[in-house]
Amino acid sequence: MSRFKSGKCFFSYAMGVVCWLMLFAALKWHCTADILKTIDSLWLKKAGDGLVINLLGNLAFHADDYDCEEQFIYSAHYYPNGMDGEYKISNLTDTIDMVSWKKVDSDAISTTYVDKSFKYIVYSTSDGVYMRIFQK
Amino acid sequence: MSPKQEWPVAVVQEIEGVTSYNAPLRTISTLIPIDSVKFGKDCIELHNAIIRKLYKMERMRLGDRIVGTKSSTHQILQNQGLASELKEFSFLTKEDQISVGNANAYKLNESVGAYIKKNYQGSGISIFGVSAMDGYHSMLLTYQLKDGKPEFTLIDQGPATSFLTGKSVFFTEASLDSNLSEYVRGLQNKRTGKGGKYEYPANIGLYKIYPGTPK
Repeated sequence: MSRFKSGKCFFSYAMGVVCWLMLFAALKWHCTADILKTIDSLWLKKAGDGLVINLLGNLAFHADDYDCEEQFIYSAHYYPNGMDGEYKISNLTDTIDMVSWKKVDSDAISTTYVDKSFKYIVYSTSDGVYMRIFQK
Repeated sequence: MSPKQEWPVAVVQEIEGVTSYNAPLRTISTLIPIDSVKFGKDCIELHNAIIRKLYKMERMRLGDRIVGTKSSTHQILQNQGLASELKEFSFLTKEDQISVGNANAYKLNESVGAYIKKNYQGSGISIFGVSAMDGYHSMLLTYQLKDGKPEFTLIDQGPATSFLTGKSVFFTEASLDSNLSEYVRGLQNKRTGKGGKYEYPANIGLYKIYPGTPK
């Protein structure tokens, strides 16, 4: 009986979390507010051209030129051989060399940054704002 | 026109094999308000994955965007003789002027559907890469005659255009044109950007994808 009760209780909490997340998603979808991004931004400080760093030392790219699609990108798809169908998820903290990081190119769809080893392209397309990492 | 331009109708099943789970996964992703959580393929990844499937090559190198650069998917295919030239369709404003810069885009200046029908060779299935607004959105378009009646199918990652299925079917060129016009018209806000900082041109780009063997 008590096991049933605790199961029911857990389910209620889980549903509560899902409801809050759906509310946050709806607010974000309608460009009303991005609650999670706002909370995230409270503990970030600028670390370079478009880069921010949090209290734990995690590096993120701050995509802020895109109206309600503004976001903090902590990881991105890394394509070691170009877009040949294979990629891995790469953490920006472990990838970006902040000393050699610079912006090199920009057009309507993308902005390109480089460091000593990689090319980082930030896209704004029908999928929103996201980054891809390629070999230089 | 060479007979190699249409594909066997059986490729539809191969395309569906790539696309069937993608749109529901992308739709679920949009319900999760965490930016880094994205399931399924985005528009250009899906477009490229279908092309790899068509040519039966798992590791074929394609572009990070559909058109507009030397390393775009269209250019890579065209360099190998696997795609036609890019045909661009411009838009008209409400005042019937060609839409330039970030001026409003009311309707297509020329029919995409009529162009596709005109270039169809009478059997099999035509496959096209479709770019909206210089690669802002990438889609795949198929055209075939089913029981003598035309059928256009637009395929993308969903969910904005096609929600759970990842595909939209049209039976007339007018309904296809209307859908493409509505898509671009609906992005007027996006085309202007933050403080007019960037401009997505109002256009539809189309290239035919040919059967063949990649080099």
